[in-house]
Amino acid sequence: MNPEDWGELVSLVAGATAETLYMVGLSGLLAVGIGLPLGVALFVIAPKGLTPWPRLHAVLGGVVNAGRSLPFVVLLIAAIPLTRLIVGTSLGSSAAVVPLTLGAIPFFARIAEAALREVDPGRVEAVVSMGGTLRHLILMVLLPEALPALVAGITLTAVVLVSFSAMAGVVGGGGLGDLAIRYGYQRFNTQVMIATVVVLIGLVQGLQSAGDWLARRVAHKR
Amino acid sequence: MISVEGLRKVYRQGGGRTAREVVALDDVTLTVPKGEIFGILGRSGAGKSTLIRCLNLLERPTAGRVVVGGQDLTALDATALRQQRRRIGMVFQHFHLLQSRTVADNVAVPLEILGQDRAQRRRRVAELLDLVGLADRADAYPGQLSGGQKQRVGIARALAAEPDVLLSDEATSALDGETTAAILDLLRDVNARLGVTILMITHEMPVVKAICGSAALLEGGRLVEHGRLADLAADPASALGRALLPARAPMPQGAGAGVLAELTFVDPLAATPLLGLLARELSVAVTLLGGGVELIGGRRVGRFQVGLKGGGSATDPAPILSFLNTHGVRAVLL
Ligand SMILES: Nc1ncnc2c1ncn2[C@@H]1O[C@H](COP(=O)(O)OP(=O)(O)O)[C@@H](O)[C@H]1O
Ligand SMILES: [Mg+2]
Repeated sequence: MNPEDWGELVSLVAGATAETLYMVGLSGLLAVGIGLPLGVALFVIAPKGLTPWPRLHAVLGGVVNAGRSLPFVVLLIAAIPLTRLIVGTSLGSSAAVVPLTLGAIPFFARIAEAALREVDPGRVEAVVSMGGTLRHLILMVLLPEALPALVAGITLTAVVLVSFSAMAGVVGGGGLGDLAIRYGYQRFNTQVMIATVVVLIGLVQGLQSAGDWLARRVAHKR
Repeated sequence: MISVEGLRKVYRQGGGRTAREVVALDDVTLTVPKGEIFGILGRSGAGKSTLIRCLNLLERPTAGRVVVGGQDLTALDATALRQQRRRIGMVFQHFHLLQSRTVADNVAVPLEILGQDRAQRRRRVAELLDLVGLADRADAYPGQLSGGQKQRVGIARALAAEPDVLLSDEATSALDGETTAAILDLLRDVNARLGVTILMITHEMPVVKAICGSAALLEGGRLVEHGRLADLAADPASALGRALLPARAPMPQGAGAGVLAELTFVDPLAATPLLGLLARELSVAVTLLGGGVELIGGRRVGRFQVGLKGGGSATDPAPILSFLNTHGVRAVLL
């Protein structure tokens, strides 16, 4: 392979990696931003929760389960009208953020709910006995005590989003998946294929290590 | 300070067709005066935790009233109940400290709930850590503390909002003997210095003996007896009194000791001349077979096993017992 080809390969892969990071970053941020409150709500209004609201819990839980049970490729296609409405087009990285976010919200909501359930109820009760409000319980006990588990959950969500975003490439979402399909599969360009795989593996490893480090740091002194 | 009337709590265990009801508290009526250290005893499952959790409505009673500081808690709405809970501190067997916060920040939790500003909180937390002897561990995390230190943090936290009442559910049960003694000293100190009424659950008699002025016994959800410790100990019919002042097994008596009786009395020194009087007035020979004197609830209480022998061949115990009883000695035949 000559030097021009190397340069082209690097710029192709770098551009696709940037697109992937953009998709994962933005959809991850939105999914945590919406999924966390949703997870807290699911925990708090559960039939035996802090402020039970069984009917709303059943509705929210049903919506989340429906979102979770939809295979991502199906969601990718089914979300196209909504994506057009929000982004104006169904092609490109920005368009892919919509189905990615929709897929990751219920995923992270359940993770957050499970993390809160791991918090020792005795600690919650201690603050109830001090006359704490629901706000106090969420902000002083539930979220801080569950923080290491939440960080681990965010890491898991980011890793899942990397693989979802590669799938989004199939319908023209851009990023590394798109690159692999256009060059590696359709043009039989083995170098691009290998480079894509290497970068994807590196990306997931990096995310996992960073997440583990952060979770350890957060749990550090406890 | 605390008054409980006709308290009843029924739990529903399990669900569906296998559901069954458990009566954890059954018609419990109890008054705890201000400034008292009140012990609640009972075996596991007797309803002790349920009772103490009903006192700040962590558990809502099925029936009955819970009046703390003149306020009927069962009649309050959620906001008013939260306000009242801020006047009642609680200490837990397993501490329940927040792992995400330092010692100082754990103690500050009730102050944050009260809405105090940072400077106020800092001052109060420093005071409290001094009180419990943990000033040098302010920046440690709970995970770095021993059990006894954790409980000191728990006590400082419970006292932070200057409560009138401190509820303690087996606060020393997870601690070793020496640490237990230190925590009990702290509670006694808190009671003496701050005048906080303390209601404590325990299944350890020595704990009650060490710091309580009064105690109650729960059995199967019912309040079997309650009263001042010295009175309970001086009552030969009281199960709590028996546990406070166990009757030693009497020595194998010589055939000549006569009728066996057990004498219980408060302030034994004053009662001793009585035995001489007994010999003079009724010509009864008193043989000491066993027993002892203990300091209980701040008073000396004695319980002795004796042999009583009258002048004749067959001793009639009735006049002897009534003589002793009229002079303040509780005497029963063994
Ligand atoms: N949350 C609960 N749900 C159902 N049953 C309970 C609950 N809490 C306590 N009980 C039952 O009530 C009885 C009294 O329990 P508890 O007050 O914890 O006793 P203690 O503290 O004296 O050991 C027990 O039979 C226990 O099984
Ligand atoms: Mg208990």
